[in-house]
Amino acid sequence: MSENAKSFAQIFQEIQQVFPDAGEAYVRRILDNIINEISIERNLKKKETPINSVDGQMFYDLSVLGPAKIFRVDFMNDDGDYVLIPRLLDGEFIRKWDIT
Amino acid sequence: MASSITRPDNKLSWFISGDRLAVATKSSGSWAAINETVTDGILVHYYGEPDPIPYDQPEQYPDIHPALHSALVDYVKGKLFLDRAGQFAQVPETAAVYLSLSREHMRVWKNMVNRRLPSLTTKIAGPRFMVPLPINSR
Repeated sequence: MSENAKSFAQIFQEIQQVFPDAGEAYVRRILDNIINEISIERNLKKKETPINSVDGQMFYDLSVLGPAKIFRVDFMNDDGDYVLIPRLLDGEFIRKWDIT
Repeated sequence: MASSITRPDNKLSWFISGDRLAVATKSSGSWAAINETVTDGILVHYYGEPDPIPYDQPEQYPDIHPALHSALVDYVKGKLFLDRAGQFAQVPETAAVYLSLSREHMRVWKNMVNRRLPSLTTKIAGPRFMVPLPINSR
């Protein structure tokens, strides 16, 4: 971690110098909210998660990921390596009219 | 277990439909579901929510770029000064002082996020040049 980094304890200590009566839970909630908001807005937190592919299933539920912007999908090849697969930009149209 | 597909990039495509990911393959002119059951066969990359600060580990660092850690102090102070201004709403002079302090801390936060964060988080630096094509390829 770089020298600019501050742990939650250090941040809370700095805040308590100005607001000695500040509650830890309240400060923690403010921090969690703004970190979530700024990370989603600015695309700061990259994550990846594996999903089991199922024979005959086209759609996979992503609601467990929470607010997520998918930017890449890989599929495992016969060597066990993940290979980038292309995105269909007109997926909605295909879903309605062209799916067997 | 690996799949039986050698080149998934030639055979499969994905798209998003609402809260669902679709992985499809072209089958006799139409898009169809894949015929593969593979554990962890699909790897989804996404921008998501950072991990919250664990309650039992206050020494943990917030899950955000370290350049923003100092500015987080300003953001929280700005919020707390705003709360205090609200508590002193009956005393306008005092409330005005707290409001201006709140604005100052929020200004520092916004300055960090809008101006400095993009340059701090990128790994690319230096001037960019247009490289002309070699003469024999024109």
